[in-house]
Amino acid sequence: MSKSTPLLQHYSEIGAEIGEFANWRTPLWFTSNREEHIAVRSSAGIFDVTHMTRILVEGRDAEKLLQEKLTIDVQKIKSGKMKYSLMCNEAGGIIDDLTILKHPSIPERYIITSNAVTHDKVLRILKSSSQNLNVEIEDITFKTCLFAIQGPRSLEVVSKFTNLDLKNLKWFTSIETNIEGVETLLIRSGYTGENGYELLLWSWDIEKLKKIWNDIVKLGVTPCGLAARDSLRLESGYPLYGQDIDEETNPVEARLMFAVDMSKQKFTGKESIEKILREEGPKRFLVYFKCIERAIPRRGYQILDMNGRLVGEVTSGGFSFTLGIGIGLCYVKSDYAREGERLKLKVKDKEREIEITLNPIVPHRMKEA
Amino acid sequence: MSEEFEVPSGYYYTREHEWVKVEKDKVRVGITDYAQKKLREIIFVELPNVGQKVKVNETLATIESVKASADVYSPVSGKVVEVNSKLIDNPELLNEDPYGEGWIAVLELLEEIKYEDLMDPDEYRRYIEDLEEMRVEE
Repeated sequence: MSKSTPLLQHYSEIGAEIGEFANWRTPLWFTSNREEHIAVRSSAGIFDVTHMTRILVEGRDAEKLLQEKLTIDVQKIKSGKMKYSLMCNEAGGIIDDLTILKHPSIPERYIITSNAVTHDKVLRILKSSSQNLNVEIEDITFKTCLFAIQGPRSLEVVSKFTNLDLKNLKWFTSIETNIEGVETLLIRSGYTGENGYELLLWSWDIEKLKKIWNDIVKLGVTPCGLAARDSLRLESGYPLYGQDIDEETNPVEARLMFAVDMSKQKFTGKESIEKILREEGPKRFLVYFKCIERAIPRRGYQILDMNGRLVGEVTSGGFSFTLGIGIGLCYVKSDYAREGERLKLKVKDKEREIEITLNPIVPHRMKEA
Repeated sequence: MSEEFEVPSGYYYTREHEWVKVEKDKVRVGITDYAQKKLREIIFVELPNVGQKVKVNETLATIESVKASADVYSPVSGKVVEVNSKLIDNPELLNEDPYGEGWIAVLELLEEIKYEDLMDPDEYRRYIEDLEEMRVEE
């Protein structure tokens, strides 16, 4: 049985193309991938990302449980702040990438937002690890909705829905508010590389949610689907779980060590990651690339060195609407993971030159507002 | 939601959604409205070289859209005598006008056209209706 956001019917009625993603029926685009993508880069767009998993972790031992399961130091998170973290297995493989938010006013309450595709797995792990602890794990995916307003105009737009001053709200920080009678956590956050705000709405009421959605759209905010979300995150270099990272990849090779606190006493996977850092060194790295010659990279395409030897593989690829070229994320052997390295992309029976970069293809601007 | 697909007369069609228009001893080739709608936003096209010879069903061009990469197969055996170089900078012509400005190549025939392998507009219309019905049943 596929799941769906409360507003699916509404999106379908206004002409969105609906598709399936991680067992969710969700809008792929409302008008076109290009229009929606450009709207977010130049103005503002709104995404319904209710498909993402939301889990409440609450109780005296909440911090203890999260400290064990997550790679960042949960103790250091101040009330209202959010952090990006990984959850790893004993071998250091990535179980999921997620954000962890410490509630702004309710002590001992954390909210995890993780991927749709790992919903059952992450819940199962948290529940099974909490058996002897004083902590409650509650799946709030189906009683809350998540809207993301993204783009340079997002501050102006979202400010209209609250009396709070959002100018001083820092990136990855949340505040409590109320929109249309719906209890809301407003978080400055996003996945597009632009400034943006996410509304975690404590409601599943279609009429109320539709009103909020439509009121935002009326301000000239473009409804955006999953296709634009994917093309935007690709330009911003954000890995997608299940595609660029999974349990077969570790945070060292995925270059996600900024989300791993090795100074923490212990967490699941720490020893294995230490070993990778100390002994082996990563054999490959997840890097970005842009096509020098005309080509559109697709997942699974091979990367060759200038002598035609296989040195890597594309994990995500597509078209950059901002730059007008093909771009992607790929794993390449460590020796080739260098800024400016020229390699070749195998496109069927042809080879096309690409350039490796360690920085996002389109620079992040989320802190500019 | 049912989509409308344009199938103009005066063209022959393939099962892979190319069209052929006979122009004296030459043929003009492109992709159908159904093909462009399925591919969605087309980002670029790799065209054949003028002078290149292709056999029937061999790859004539490659189209990249936001959704997928698709080969365009030659509906005839022939020699490429003209390509639509406008598509290099304006690949969206394939979406906007697939039977007109979005043509791909003109070929000089090296073999007789095998009409038995091609469909007329009525046959092609039925063919894509069947495809759409199968899609709905899925």
